[in-house]
Amino acid sequence: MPEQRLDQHLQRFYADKRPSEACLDRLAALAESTPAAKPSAPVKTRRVTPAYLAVAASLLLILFGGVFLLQPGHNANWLVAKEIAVNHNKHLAIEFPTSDYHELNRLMDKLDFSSVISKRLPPGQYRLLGGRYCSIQGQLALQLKLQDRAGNRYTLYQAPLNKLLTGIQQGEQVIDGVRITLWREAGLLLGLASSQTQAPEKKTTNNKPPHGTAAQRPRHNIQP
Amino acid sequence: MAPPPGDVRELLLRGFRYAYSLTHDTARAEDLLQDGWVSLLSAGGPRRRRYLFAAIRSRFIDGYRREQLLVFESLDQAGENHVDKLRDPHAGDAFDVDEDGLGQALATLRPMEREALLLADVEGYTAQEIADLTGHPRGTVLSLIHRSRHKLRRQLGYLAQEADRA
Repeated sequence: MPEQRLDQHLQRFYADKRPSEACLDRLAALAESTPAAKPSAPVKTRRVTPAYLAVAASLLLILFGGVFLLQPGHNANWLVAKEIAVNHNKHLAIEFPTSDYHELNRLMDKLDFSSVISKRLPPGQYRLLGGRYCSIQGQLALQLKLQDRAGNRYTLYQAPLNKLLTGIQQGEQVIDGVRITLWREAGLLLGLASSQTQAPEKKTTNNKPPHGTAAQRPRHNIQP
Repeated sequence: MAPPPGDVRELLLRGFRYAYSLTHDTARAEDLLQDGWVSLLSAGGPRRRRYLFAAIRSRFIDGYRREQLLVFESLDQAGENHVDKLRDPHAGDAFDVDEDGLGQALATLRPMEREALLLADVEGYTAQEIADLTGHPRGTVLSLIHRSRHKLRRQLGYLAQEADRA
């Protein structure tokens, strides 16, 4: 660097620091797909005419016509699913490689909850590869890597139910090419993520797919 | 109203640099930016710099408290009366340093010191704006900036001496 003042050196140093383009694209896309905040500036009071009311009512019906959209926790649902999809696509390395859930609980001692062996994902069919710390909506959570017999990999998120997560509706959604299923089990919120491009698992008589069959899946989807 | 896409990317870049000043690590800064961004969007907060910075800062403190890696040292208020303005008395002094050297010197600073330097010298925040963001009294912020600049200069001088010896 040429001779410069300290603040100029700092400006140049930090100007060179950038996140990866993939990260930037991902976060920008997240903003585009998330409803924008309401404007904070005070809105001028206008005389409301019946015509305005009719237009407003029509728009509201179009925008919020679905029953699901009116349910509480909807926005949180979509944001949690989106966050899981984003994290799944990062393909972060396993921090604690182990195939034993008890060993994993012992290794990951910063968690204030214990991981559960989900009834939907029996260890005989879904082998544990390891885990790492993560966060869901800013809350410390657990990320498990699982592999089925066909070699397909899944990411299972587990987080204790707090005020926000308790309102999450159980359901399934596909975001950014990732199939996400959310459900509650043993006092935790569980989120299973898998890439849609994965080869389908060979079906055996006792081998249900992790996301369930169409008939088993919860009816509603998680929509933004 | 949401900012145009270009503005969002610029906002994210600024958020990343702020996160980098706290973590001094690219991967962790990306994670921190993502956490702060998701938090801001989920709260429906305005997509503006000060809100994003506040979200990132909150996530940073939460994460490190949880991991108990960050010792929250009380900011020294003893020197605040000796610094009554943000202006750097050595601001006009030009010197030469390469990016690696500056990076090494910055790595020796505490996160809050790097944060103060970025906000004051890169983002152009006033002491009051930094005080509002960090929750510290304005006098403490002025003192922190002054000491951080002094510490960085001293560290750069030390590294330059080491390089000369080598």
